[in-house]
Amino acid sequence: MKKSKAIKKAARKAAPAPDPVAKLDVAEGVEGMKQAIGIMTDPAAALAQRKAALNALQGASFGHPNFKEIRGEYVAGLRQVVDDAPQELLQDALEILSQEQDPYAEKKLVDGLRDDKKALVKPEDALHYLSYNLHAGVQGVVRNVFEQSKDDRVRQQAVRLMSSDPQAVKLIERTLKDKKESAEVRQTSAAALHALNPQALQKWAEKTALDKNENQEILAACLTAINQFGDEKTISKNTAFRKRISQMSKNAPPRLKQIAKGLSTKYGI
Amino acid sequence: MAVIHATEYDAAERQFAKAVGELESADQLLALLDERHPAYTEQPAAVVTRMRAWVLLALSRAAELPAAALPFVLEELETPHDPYLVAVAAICLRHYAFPHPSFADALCQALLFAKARDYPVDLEIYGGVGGGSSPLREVDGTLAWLKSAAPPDSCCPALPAFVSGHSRWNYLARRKAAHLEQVMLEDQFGRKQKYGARFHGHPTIVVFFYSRCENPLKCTLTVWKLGHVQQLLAERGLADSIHTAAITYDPAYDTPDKLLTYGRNRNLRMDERNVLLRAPEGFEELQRHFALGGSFFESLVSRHKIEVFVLDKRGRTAASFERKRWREEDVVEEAAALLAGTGSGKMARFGSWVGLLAPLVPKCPICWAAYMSSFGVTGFVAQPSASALRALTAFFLLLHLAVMAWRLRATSWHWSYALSLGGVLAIALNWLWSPPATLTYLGAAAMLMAAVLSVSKTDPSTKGSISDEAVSGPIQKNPVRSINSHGDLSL
Amino acid sequence: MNVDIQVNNSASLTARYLTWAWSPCRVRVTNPTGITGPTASVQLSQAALGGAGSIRFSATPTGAGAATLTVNVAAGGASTPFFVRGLTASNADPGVRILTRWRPTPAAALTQVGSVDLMVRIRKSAISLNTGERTRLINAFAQLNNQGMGRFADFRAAHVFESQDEAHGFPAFLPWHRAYILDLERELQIIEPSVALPYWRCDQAAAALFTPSYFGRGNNTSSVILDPGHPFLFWKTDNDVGIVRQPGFNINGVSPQVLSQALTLALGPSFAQFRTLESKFPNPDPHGMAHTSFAGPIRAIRTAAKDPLFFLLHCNVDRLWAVWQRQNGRYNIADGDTYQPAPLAGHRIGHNLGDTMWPWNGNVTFPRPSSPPPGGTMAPSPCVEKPGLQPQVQQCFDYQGTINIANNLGFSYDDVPL
Repeated sequence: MKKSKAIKKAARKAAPAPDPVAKLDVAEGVEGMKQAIGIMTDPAAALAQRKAALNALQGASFGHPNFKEIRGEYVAGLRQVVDDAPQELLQDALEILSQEQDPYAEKKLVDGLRDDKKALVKPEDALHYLSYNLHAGVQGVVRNVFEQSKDDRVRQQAVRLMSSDPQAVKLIERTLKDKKESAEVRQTSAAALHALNPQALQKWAEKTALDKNENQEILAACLTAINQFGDEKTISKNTAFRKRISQMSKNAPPRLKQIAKGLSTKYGI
Repeated sequence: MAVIHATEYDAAERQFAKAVGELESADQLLALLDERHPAYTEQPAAVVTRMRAWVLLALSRAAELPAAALPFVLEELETPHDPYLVAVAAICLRHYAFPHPSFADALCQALLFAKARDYPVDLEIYGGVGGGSSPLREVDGTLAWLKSAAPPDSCCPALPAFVSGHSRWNYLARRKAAHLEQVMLEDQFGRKQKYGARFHGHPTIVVFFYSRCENPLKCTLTVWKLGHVQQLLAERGLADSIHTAAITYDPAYDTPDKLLTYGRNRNLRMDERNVLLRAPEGFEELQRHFALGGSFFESLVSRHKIEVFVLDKRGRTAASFERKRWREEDVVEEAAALLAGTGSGKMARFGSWVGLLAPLVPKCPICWAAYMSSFGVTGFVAQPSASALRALTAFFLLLHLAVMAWRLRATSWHWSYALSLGGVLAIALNWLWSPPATLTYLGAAAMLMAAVLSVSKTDPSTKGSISDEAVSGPIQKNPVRSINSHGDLSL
Repeated sequence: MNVDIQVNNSASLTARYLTWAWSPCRVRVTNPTGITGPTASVQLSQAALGGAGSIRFSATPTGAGAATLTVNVAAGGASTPFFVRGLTASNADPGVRILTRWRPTPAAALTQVGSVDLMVRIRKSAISLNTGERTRLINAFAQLNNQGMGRFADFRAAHVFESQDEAHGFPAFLPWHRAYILDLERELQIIEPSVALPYWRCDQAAAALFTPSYFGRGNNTSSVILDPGHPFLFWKTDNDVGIVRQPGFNINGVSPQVLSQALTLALGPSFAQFRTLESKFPNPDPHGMAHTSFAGPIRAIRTAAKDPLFFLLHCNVDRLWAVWQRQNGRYNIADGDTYQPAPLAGHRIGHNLGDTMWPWNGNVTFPRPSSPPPGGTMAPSPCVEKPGLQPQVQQCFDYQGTINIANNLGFSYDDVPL
């Protein structure tokens, strides 16, 4: 309790002034929503105003009784924003449209991944927005992007999408085992492999736990996978693994030690 | 208004859109509605949606929507998933010959969807991305059209039988499943069993699904209803005799643990008699055998229809419920009837032979004409001196062929028509090269056999056939009204 | 002599959880050795355990209660009822021990004859949870998700386009979400009974929530940054792994587009006025605008429930309702201002007081969604009977049994006393 009070105190001390947000000067109800759409789609309006309008409209989508009447116009407005707005605003519009599985947004994103000149957003952002629709048909594009990109953020995002692509299993396994890959990409690969082939992940995790040269973050990911989803029968027979966990629960960096202790309790090691 | 013009799509789509615009007959358009059409091969769901919507739009431009298109249109409204498709389907429906009360359910479903997804669509350009209309506007329009119908007791002819999506095959007409015997199936517990071992010895109710289906009104609902089917079977004491199986379209992704979770989350009973299955190798065999209506993009299903099959104790399809929303009671009834029939095999065979002979008793004037034309022809031809009757004989031969052609449109059994034609030719040849009359009798026998088998088919199949009621004639030859500066093709 | 104590009138270990509401308990003699006469007088008292917390006793479910209670128990073994409620919250399980003591003779010292350990399990601010509470919460969430195959998928599936009208834009927005998060909380408690769903107080700085050790630090469109070995590493919903959430505000402060608690409570004394907290376009509000304070799935109805933060956000919305109810005495549905009076034709189905709510009612008749209601019936609680398997709108108001103890839904908020 003391610690949380201290955190609160520190947070209050450090609290800066609230982020500046433009006040949206529109009426209430349908009329106001239409005015807000007008502001959102007006290239001449200040960015802050346009953003405020978009946020207010998106907030209204969460149950305002009048929102249904302008839903179509709102979607049309978002599409317009994608075409002619500053980056910050068009990203918001692209994400919201992608969450609605809007074909306009999806086409723009796929075109951008295929051709840099048509890209509206960075590839990792495009991949994230496309992840809202499994049936957008980008499996091949994603694998290509992964193979060609050297940017970890892009590769991590690509792996996220590949977690539902059975054709990518081998690629994901290879990435997971490659110690030259970044920890973030490998951790996401672990999660993706688990989604596609949990047995393969457990096998890899049990083997990797014995590798004293493995990156600690990856070791922690292995142990978490086993802790959360491990197969008790397999683990009970794996003497080497059990011995390693026993060692780690006594002598390991704090985070690993904590996880190892949890494993010891769970599997009676 | 943000728009995606036709020229912005890939070449394959542009070509497809153009080709659809140039098609002249409803038959050609209807063929494109079959999910198995090669045009859809390796196309993702988003592309397939655009393509199908364009085909439906083209059909809506006909003087009247062909009846054969109804199942597809109603399907889009009953299981709505895309605003563009829903808008298009709503338009199509109100181009049907008459409003029918049974359309209300589908429209209500579409209305629920349209209210939540009332996005702008452009019904003039391929892909529909633009403005000018919306699913809600079109569904409302169709509801108004439906309301304009006369009260049920005074209106409407019946809809064609195939709209129900329910087909049945008698014993002799069922497609053999011997080639599937060795297909290995794996269930939700990882147990492997061949098709033959799994499906022989008892009727089975089989549905197809996949866990990554994002339309909750298709696969999730299908499997959930299978759970109800299991309950109904149990209530009727049939749970031990009639099995159930749900087979995934997506064997690479739907591993046993995913199958188990999927079934459990939908309250499905899972045991020796009730399974979820995948065919890691051999799914293509199943696909062909069941003529599954689906297309794929890599391992992902792009598009599929609702498909429920009732298999007999030899694993052959005895009945199916496709595309349209099916009732659990109807499926159970089919399986129970099948069980009663296979409860004593002799009865089933006897019944089938009786069924075969039954056509010999004319049921309708046309059938009578078919038979009598066969008999009559034989009689005439057997009168060698009745040369004056040859004109009459020729007339009856032609009448027989015309009648068989009419039946062909209903049954799509081309080979029975070929048999008739062969018989007629044999008789004609015998005229030209004199007796013995062997050819004549052979010809007559062929004509008779063709006529009998043609009328023995009980219900018209919904698998791609177009019945005589279905086609109202060619669409107007006005494939492309204009191409604007963006390259948009509008019908 | 020995006695047995049952909390919530149940012998089950999973029933030994209290809130601020009065819980029925009973004590009975299991071994009458030493009792002379038909009854014996026993004293009920409490002792603090490692998990902290304190309780109050009463012979009836009214009043403030007292630190101890003396009751007469029948030597024959018949149960004697009494009531207990939480006074201060526990932070681990068990937190409090009920002691039963008895004097064999008037001159003798009190002898302990029975005890039972329990926890005062209360919904708290997410940033006030200690390390142990956070760990148990996160583990429970991760197991409920079970890499996309757990029951969490049903909660995610219940909050989509098709079901919009069941839960949004109509009067039962608050009752529906109260039932929804209660169902989730009970599922978490099946995994880890000590867990109570915490709330994210969106109108106060909550930087501690958005850290790699807790609910993750925003990383633009990549998955949130989590500590190595964090259970959320394997979080999966729909077809993708990871949690994506990027605050659109400085997490050391507050999003300027959310309405403060004070202003939310000032919306008005009637339910019709208060429920506008759902969305107050174009003005700030504590719900819709809280959702859109972030980029990521949480900012759209269709995808919001992919993010576990969604449930903490809605726990706060529910808490605001609870605070408003207490301020205005709005527990009795007979009071016209407790809920929104229906017009002559009634509210949309699912929003009238007597209506059952989707998905728990399994109803697929138009205009309910036709797709299979995900998740089935409401998870039962070993502690309370309500709201039952198919909750009704009207069962969501008297959540602490203020009017009738039987209405207790089994949760309380740390800052909303009885």
